[in-house]
Amino acid sequence: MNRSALPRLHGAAFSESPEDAYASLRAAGPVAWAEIAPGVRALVVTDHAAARELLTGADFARSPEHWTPLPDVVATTHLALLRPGGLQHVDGPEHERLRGVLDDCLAGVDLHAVRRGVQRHGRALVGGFAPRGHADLMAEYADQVAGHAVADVLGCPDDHDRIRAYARSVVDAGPDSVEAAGKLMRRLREIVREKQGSPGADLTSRLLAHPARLGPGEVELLLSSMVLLGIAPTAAWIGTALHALLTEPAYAGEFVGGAVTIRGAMDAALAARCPVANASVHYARRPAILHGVVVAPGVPVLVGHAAVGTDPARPGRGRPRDRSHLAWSAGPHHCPAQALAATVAEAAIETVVDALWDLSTPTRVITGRPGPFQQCPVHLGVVFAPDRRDGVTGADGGGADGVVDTSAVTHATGANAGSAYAGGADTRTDEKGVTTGHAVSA
Amino acid sequence: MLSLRDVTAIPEYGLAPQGPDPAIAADREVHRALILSGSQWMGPDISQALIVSDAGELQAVDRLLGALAVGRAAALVLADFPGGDAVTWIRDAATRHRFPLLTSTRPLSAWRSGLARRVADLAADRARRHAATLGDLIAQLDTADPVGGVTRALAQALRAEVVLRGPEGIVTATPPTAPLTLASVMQRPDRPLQTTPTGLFAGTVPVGADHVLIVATDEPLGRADRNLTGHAATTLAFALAPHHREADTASVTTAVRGIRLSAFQLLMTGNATHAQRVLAGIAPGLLDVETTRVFIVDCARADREAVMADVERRLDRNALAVRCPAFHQHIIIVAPQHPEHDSEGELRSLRQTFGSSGVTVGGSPVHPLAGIGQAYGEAADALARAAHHPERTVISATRTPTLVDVLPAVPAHTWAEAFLRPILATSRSGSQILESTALAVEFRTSAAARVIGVHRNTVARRVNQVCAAVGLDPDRTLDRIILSLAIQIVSSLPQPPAPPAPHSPEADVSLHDVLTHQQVRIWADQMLRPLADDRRDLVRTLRTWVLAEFNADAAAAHLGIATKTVRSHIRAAEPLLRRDLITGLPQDRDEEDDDQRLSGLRPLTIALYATTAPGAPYPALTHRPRGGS
Repeated sequence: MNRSALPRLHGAAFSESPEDAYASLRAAGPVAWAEIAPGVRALVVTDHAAARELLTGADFARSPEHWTPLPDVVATTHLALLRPGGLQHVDGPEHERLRGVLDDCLAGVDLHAVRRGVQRHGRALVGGFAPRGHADLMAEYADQVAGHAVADVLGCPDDHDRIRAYARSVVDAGPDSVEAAGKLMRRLREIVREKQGSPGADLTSRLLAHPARLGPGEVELLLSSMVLLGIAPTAAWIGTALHALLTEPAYAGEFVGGAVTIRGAMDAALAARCPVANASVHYARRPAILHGVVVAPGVPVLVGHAAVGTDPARPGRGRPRDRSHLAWSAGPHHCPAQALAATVAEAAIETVVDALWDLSTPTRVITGRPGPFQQCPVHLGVVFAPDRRDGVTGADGGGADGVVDTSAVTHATGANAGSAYAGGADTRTDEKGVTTGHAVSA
Repeated sequence: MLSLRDVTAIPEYGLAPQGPDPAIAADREVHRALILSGSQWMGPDISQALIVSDAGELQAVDRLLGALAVGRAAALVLADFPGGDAVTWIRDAATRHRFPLLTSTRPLSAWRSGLARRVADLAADRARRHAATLGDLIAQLDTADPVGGVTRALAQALRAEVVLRGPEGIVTATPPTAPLTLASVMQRPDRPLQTTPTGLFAGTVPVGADHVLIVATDEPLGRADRNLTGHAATTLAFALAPHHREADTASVTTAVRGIRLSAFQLLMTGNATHAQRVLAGIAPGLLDVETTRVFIVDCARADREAVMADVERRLDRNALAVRCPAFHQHIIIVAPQHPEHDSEGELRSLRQTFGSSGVTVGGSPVHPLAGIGQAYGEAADALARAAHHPERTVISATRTPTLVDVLPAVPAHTWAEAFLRPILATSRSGSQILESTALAVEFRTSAAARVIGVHRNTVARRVNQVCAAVGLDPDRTLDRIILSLAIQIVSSLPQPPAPPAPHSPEADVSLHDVLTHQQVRIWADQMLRPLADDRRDLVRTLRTWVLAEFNADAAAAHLGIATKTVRSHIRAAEPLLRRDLITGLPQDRDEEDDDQRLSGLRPLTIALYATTAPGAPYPALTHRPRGGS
């Protein structure tokens, strides 16, 4: 195979128009070779049926110990997300035991409290930029809210800034990703130690107190999955759904009329722009055949969650209540925190849209963030009428508990409101829904 | 002090104004340029910025212009317009908002790759020159003919014709023919703006009660120039007052204060010559010296203005005293060494007046004028010690032999030069960059930025660039120690008379060789000796703590004692070593923590390094710990 001709899932061109790469992958078959970092090749599944087969079958392992990259590749790549650590890389009975504990403890998270917390953080953040009349809703809002939400759930609210920054570096797959992953693990170790000493009403303490008696190392592993697969995808989901609400002509009219709900836009986003673009890495234990393609042991096989979402042959695609996208992954490793992520994203979107009713994006096309793993706008710059009131509500505004009525997103712009944050007008597909999805597979 | 008109006049940017009214817009101040595109957002602070974008990328322009106006941006620039004709709908929107719109023939990529940065550099340069001109104007007050001097200086700075008219006729004019050119204007001195028959733009500014200053130029005056004219008028009023030395006015005081601060900041950033030039006006000769000392007065509970007044009275014109822009209770004094003036004695006696308010004074030893950054650091150290001193005053009269003094000069210099070569060799202003980096590594970035008057992002970027160039991690304390040590060596150890030949064995010196030198061991033994007075094994705890890269938890785990015990050992060592250790630790991005200084950790780490027993592990100064990349 000619390596230079492989579709690239990294670099500036991929960030600008990922669908080009996915189209070439689809053309090459249901399971095809791609370059996921300079010099690192992997198989990527873009076909819905093949992806389901891979995710639900037992022929493939998740543990990176099966990965046999070239030695120089290990030293030079920034794919910290592929390295060991995290529930997504654990197989078999071990996975079943840990996943059971995580499911039990996540069931104990009070989603009403989470919603109230997100609204409180959201209002405070909006209060910071409302008087200014412009903001970057990715960096100044979506990233922050998602970081706060996960830190609150984990019981380390003061760490929101750093764990968010570490997770961001790892998911961006930039030069500092390996170092950031190390720092994150060190910090999580400290958090676990603190919670052992003084437990609280948080996920970390519940994991430690679970009758299955997990060791501190096992709790750290679960927390790292929550941070790495929780913060960035949720932020991307918020950003992409907001971007769609602001730019898709379909929403502009109907959102005001109430025909489109925020939840509807969020679901469309999961299928059209899955936040976890390429992940769920599998390895063949012995030479295997996946949907007619021979897979040698040692080769990473990624699920192209984003490409599957936009697969023209996907059953149910484009229908109302489209649930066949694999944004939440599937099989034993499907996302354990779907309800949590949806609660956070929905409350975050409602809060900002409610506070700043006349948002519009001044740039027609917005590029995506780097690396193969994510699909997320690099910024979401918006302008709006500045709020001249002095104390913009920070904490307890009205409607603290209930669902906020978000009834008005209007367009300030008249001239051609383009859409799709990546890919110019000519690369846009015929889809309406822009946005995100959230595939945490743990 | 860079205006939109100035930027538009520079051909490199290919700018053409599009509206609404070029004459009004041209006066806006420009501090920098920010890119707005699908891959770059302009960021939270847009004041005085050119916002550069691509017309093809923009939408919601009406709302955008509204936000730019609220944020006090300078103008919107549409890149890549060969003909310079803006899209009509964008121009209409700009007219509605009365917000300046320009087109640029240069593409967005050119702005991204350098044009934008050059706008910021240019703006900084203009601001410096403006300060220097202000200094020149005020300098004239000390000359034999202040009125003529100010007029001439103003005419020169603005390339203008200038006339000062009094009740009895013309007082002075530059050039001498100016009264002829401006005859028509002098008929109607009550009109602030007029044009002359020869097409000059003339402005009149009242000076005092019965004088008027007339300034005529080829182009209408910009804001910076009007500001300068206003200052000239104030200065003239001062000079014309019967006893101008007593007729102190608030505006002159403010101007002088601003000039002193700029001069100090120029000194701190290694621009001694600029500082001399700026200060020449208000304090001629003050900085024409080779050496100086720096004192810092902590006013504590006393009113800083009251202390400042007393300091100025005592030091008269023999020192440069400024209000610290970073620490609001501090006064910083740069005291050049004059044989006939005793600044130190004067400052020591400050306590007689303000002793009950807890005023403390720290002073540095004598430094060359170019080394003020380091002198400031040493004065800050002395100030920290002064708080525990019975006299509340610590002035390092002679340099107590510090680590840098005992280092073997030739190998140390050879190592440091080689280590810093990427910076010293590549950049024209390498030593200046090192000066501000040293300060930022030593103190918090944001405090350092305020002291030297450079934006903290710039300082942080500089530190990151320097660290990247020499292969260090700016977040790692041991790396910061290495960097600050190398900079200290280069800036304060005299250059060896004969540096070793490039490829000789002497030229291949490692930090390990330098730190394990006989002299360093002797110094280290002396430094650590006071720790033996404690019956606990403090050295062992400190050594483990340093080996654990200042992580008390890890040190505790290694020693098998509680973290609390490790901390209490460190605290016990602080008074014995007379150094702050725990407060010297950089807290992870915690800007609120007040004192983050390497000054205690550096000597401790190096002393422990030098006294490492054979076979025992060294602190990871010269090698990376396992697992590091």
